[in-house]
Amino acid sequence: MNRYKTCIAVAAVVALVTGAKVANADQLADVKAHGTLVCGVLSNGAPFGFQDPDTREIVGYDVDFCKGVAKELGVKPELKVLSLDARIPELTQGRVDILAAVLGYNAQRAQQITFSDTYFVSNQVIAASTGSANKTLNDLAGKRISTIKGSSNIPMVQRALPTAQIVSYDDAPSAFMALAQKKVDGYVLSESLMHRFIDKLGANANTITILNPPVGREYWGLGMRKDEPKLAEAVNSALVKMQASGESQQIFDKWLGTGSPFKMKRDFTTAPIPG
Amino acid sequence: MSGRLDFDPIFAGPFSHLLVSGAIKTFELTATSWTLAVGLGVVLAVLRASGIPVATKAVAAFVAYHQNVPMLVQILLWYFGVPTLLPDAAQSWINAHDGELIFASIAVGLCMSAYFSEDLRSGLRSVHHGQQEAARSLGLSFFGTMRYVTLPQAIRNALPTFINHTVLLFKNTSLAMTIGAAEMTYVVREIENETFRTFEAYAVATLFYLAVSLGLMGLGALVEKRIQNQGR
Repeated sequence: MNRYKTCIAVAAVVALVTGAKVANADQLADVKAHGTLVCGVLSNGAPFGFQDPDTREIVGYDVDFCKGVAKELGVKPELKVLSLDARIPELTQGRVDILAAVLGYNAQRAQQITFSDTYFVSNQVIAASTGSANKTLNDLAGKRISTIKGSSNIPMVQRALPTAQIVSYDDAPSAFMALAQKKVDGYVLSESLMHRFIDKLGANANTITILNPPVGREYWGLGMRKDEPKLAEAVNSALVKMQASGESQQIFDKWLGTGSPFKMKRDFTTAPIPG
Repeated sequence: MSGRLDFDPIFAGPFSHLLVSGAIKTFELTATSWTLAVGLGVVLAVLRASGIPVATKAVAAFVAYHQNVPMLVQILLWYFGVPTLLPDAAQSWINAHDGELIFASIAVGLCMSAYFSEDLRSGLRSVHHGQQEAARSLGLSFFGTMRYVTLPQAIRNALPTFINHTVLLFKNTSLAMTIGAAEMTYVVREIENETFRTFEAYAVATLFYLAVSLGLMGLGALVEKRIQNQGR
């Protein structure tokens, strides 16, 4: 029992100390004084943040952006692995300086944290059977499209193809299976995940094709605490420099480009998030 | 957000149409799978009563499988598993003709036919053996005996459990939501997702299932009464 009390006391003291640190106004000055930028990243979100099976190090698209920004700020990057659900509270409670953790922009999140300029844009795409008559997005008007129950893709499809019939399944693999077995005409998902599913078909990968144009776009930014304008400014100018030097393009090509299993093309540039 | 109940968003805009279409789909599923289950259930019960060793063993195996594997697994097997064994032409025909309804009806129908056949079997066993012997001694064939003497009595005896299983079948059509059949539960969950009116959405579904189930039971009681009167 006493040990629990000690634990609670220690936790309280830690909370007090870290809380006090947060209260020190300018975070950019803090980061420069410490010489480290603490980045919150994921370890289970390949290819954005994951553990390299050989080196046991956390690597990925998000990780490289954290390192790039730290280099521009003239400090050392320090990675901290977070869980997907807890990443925003970890940031707002001051345990990390910045989030590089597959963070898509939406209005609710923007009320809690500040988003940097986009460093990635996730296209939401529809895939169809290669042999079918559906060659472009508009061919799917009035057809059956599979989704995941409760997914944010559903309103996107309804906007792009108002006449399409939505059939939603419990999880992503079921919805993909429905397309592979031609129970539906199309399946909507983020481009990178879609590539991963198609990749899993192995020899049959050419039976599914991703249609153009995408149904919608999700803008990803680095996450920072609110009311830290100097840090946000510094991070954005670091992203702009990385874009200008070609480093952003290199990172994209390394993880998602034609040499990777994803074979994607970078169809965006770093810019303020619209909306 | 206030804790006040508000049912208006559930019926607002396109949602009322959705609810109606969900109810229709549930009734369609119930009708098709019930027809299959009753038809097959009678055949199975008669086969089992026939005393032919191969037939009784086969029916016993069929019943054991369908009563001991979760219905959800059976539905998923029919929807995602069985089609891979079918020729492409058959697959695309089914996919073009509401495959969700077809496979869900088959899965629910086959599963419940096992229950119905067991109901009838216990009904048949409750008919005194002398009835059958008397019928056969009067020159009726096996099927004639079944048709005119034993089955009518068996059905009367089996009716209470038969009605319970009909209600069970109706409720279990909600499992078809996992394969994307847009029946009542699927529709209600979709509305809940969009309105976040969780209690209200599921309350509507609860009332729907409760009303129809009670209706089925009332109908069953009525039929039971009529048949009982006929018997006298």
